[in-house]
Amino acid sequence: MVHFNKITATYFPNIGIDNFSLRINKGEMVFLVGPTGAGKSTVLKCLYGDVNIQKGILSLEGSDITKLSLKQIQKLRRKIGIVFQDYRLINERTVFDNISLPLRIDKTPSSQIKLRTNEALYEIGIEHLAKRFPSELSSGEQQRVSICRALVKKPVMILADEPTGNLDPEASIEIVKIFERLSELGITIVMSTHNHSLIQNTKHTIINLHLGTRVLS
Amino acid sequence: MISSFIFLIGESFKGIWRTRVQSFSSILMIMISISLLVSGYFVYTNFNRYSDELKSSYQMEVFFNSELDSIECRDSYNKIYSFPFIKKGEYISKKRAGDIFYKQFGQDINFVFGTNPLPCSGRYDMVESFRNIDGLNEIKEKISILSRVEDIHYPSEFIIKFDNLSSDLIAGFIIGGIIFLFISIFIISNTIKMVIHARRSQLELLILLGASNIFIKTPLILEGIFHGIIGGLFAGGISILMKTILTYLFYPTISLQIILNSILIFSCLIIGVLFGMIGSIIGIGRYLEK
Repeated sequence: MVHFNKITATYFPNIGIDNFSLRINKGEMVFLVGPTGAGKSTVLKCLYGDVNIQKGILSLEGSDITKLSLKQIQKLRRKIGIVFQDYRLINERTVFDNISLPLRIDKTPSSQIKLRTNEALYEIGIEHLAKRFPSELSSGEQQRVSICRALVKKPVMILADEPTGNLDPEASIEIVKIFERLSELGITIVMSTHNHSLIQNTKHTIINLHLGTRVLS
Repeated sequence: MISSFIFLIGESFKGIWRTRVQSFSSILMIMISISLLVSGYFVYTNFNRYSDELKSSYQMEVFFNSELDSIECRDSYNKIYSFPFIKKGEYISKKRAGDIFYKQFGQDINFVFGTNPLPCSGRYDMVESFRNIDGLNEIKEKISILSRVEDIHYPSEFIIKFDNLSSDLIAGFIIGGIIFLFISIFIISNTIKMVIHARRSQLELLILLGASNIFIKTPLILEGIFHGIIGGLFAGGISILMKTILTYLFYPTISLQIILNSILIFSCLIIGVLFGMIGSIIGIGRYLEK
């Protein structure tokens, strides 16, 4: 499904990634592990077209991301769910409005928006939070809303950039469990973390990164 | 599509409320700009009115040969009167000229000189397009070639000075107006940039979620237009108030009845919409380029 073929993407002041190769299958769950500056975020940014790739081929479902136009990148982003460390929720909007935003962007009819947002809320188990505002929620709840926003557009892949970075251990385990469940539903998950203890007993793929290159897993 | 548009309109209203401080400055700027433009327009139209009134009093006095009898004088007067550039005229016979002399100097000219040496003449008003120094010179040229014409008088020095002053003032108004327009749009676009800056994290999120440029731009442009509508309406109100007060205090010296209130409001609204739209397009353009 995803194939990084000798990708180099560096940008000042970050190191980025250098000659990086990786193959991810559909429905696979992959953890990108490494210290700050290892290139984890760059791998994810390559996938949603937020970084300039200098060398290599990056194919997603057969098409080369490095050759996409701006409009095609916008379309690609509509097919991918992104979860951020700082949640990036809009504080002035309710949880329901935050989650339904990707559907608005995708010009989904109003009747479908309500249905699909409620489905996503139910899937993540936060339907009781629908009318609340982000500022009224705990960090763990906010991150679940962020995952719900990624899930609502029925993505082919969810990219999570340090989603547990701001959470306590208990909430972090909860988030990983949610991603595992989504992976079982056939959604490809790529999650970056520097928290080794969180994934020490995982059965999923672990990719170790150091200074922009892949090191032995 | 329609639900999407309604959503975007809703977003722009919410946007105004969310960035109310910046929106307030944008609206205020539009209001001040339009009010100043309207004031400039009032000054310009009043100047034009005075200028037209003054020019309508321009007269050319043509003196005929003093040896002509009254019939020949009349003929000559009528000949000039029939020219297309003459709007109206007044025939002054030798006798009438004597009466004018008496009015001005209090003495009978026949008594002073023993006879009436004053020539018959005609006073002419020109059509509007000839009420300037070039037009008057052209008329003078055409009339002076007539055999019975002795002399032609008109206040050429004054007209030259006034024409120069008018054209300088009009040029000043146009150049000042254009400069002011650019400054206004620059300030408005920067104010809208501040609105965008205050919401940059939300815009960045939209970009990462795959929003198209239209989806990102539309609420901001609509916001600019709404700023323009509100600013334009306030400016219209201020202009009507200004017009009413000035008319009350200075009528008929200053007449501002040149424009109906409804047209004034409508014009302010249109200018406001244009200001807001152009300002937001420039502001967004810069942001998305980055």
